Amino acid sequence: MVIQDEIIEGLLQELRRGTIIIGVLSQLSKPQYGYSLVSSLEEKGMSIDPGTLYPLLRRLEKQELLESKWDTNEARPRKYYLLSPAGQVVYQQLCDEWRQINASLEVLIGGKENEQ
Amino acid sequence: MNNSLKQRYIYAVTRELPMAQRADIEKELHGLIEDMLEERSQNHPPTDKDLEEVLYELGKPQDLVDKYRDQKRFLIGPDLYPFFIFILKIVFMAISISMVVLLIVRGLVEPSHVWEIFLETAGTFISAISQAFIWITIMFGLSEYFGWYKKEINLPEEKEWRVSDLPQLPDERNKISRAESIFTIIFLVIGGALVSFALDLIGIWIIDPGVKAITIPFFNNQLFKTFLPLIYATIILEIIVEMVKLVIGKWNFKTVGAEITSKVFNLLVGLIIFSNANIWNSEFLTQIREAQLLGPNYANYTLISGIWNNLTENIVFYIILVFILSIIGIVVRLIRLNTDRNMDIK
Repeated sequence: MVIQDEIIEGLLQELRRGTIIIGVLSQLSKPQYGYSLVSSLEEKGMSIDPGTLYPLLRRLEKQELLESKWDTNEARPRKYYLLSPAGQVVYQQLCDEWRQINASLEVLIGGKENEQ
Repeated sequence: MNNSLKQRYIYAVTRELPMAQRADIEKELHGLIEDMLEERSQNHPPTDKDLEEVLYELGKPQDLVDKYRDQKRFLIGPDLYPFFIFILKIVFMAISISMVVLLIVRGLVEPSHVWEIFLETAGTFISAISQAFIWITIMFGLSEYFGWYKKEINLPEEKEWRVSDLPQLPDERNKISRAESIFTIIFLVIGGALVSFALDLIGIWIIDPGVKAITIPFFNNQLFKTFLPLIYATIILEIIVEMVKLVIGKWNFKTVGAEITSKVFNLLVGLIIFSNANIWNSEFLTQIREAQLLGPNYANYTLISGIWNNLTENIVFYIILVFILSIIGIVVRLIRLNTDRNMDIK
């Protein structure tokens, strides 16, 4: 059983990896800094540890899907991220793709009622 | 709260990241840890325990470093690693075999010093193995760094893939014999070991139990030693060519080109060394005659002097002959390759 748990954990990690990006992009039409993003994703049921999120934000910025700006006015300097125009296009497309994947999987795994 | 723990954590992460990103990531991690502390200790100033918990939540610094880096970096990556191990095995095997040969040869000639010879050979073995390891690692490290190998071992490239890019099935005619390459490397290493450590023993041995063994060297060793750097260069070049052949595994224009380069280099070195008549042991025939005086069975003077005179007079001719024969072999291979290509196009 322990081995099975490990396998499930590994597979889940792979599943999450892609969905996390969609989740992150979905929250960034308004500027947010890393930790506020952790909380707002958590609130909506997607938990992600900061150690994963922070490097991910950087990578998305390097791919020019996000724009960033340091805010040094507050007591603590924070780096705010916002969806770039290119990021908006990519996000829309990812959403469409995700809905299709979701729909076909629903059919495949037994035609259960769509939970939406 | 003990702030140095926080500094140390951030340092552990940033020191392994590229310079350009360090300052930014450092600032970012500071902010993050502060935010996490704040959430954890809403009503009281954060304690050491809070900080520890936050750092454990962030996880092992090394994992964070891996995530911050875009891709893993290797000295020798997974694509090259099997070849690296393969070449190491062959070269280590070649060195081991050549050391055993060296040990036997020297032991036979000087049986009274077996123990010393053994220790000396063991020392040579260790230094040869470490040298080989260092150089092979450097070569593979460089080809990883510059990505030289990518084309040769058929890794997917950026450009669009076509069915015609599929490698030909290995054809017996253009397959490079691994055994031959391995044998050549072993032979080269043995040769290198002999000229380095047992130059005096390259010659005719007269061994008689009970009597001290005599060796009559072929070469004027004093002069021969001055050519050692040139000989080492030849051996190293040939070993590199054999390794390239082992990794690529088939005759194509690169392997054929490498082969020709090393043959031409061999020819030049051979001509440089043997165009000088003084390279031979001028006392050779006298020494053979003296040996014969010890007893008629020790050396057949007439036979040996016949071979000796022929060899020393015509060595340049023989070297050129060997070169021409090997070039003919290569040309035949090239012609075959060409006809194969034409057949493929049809």
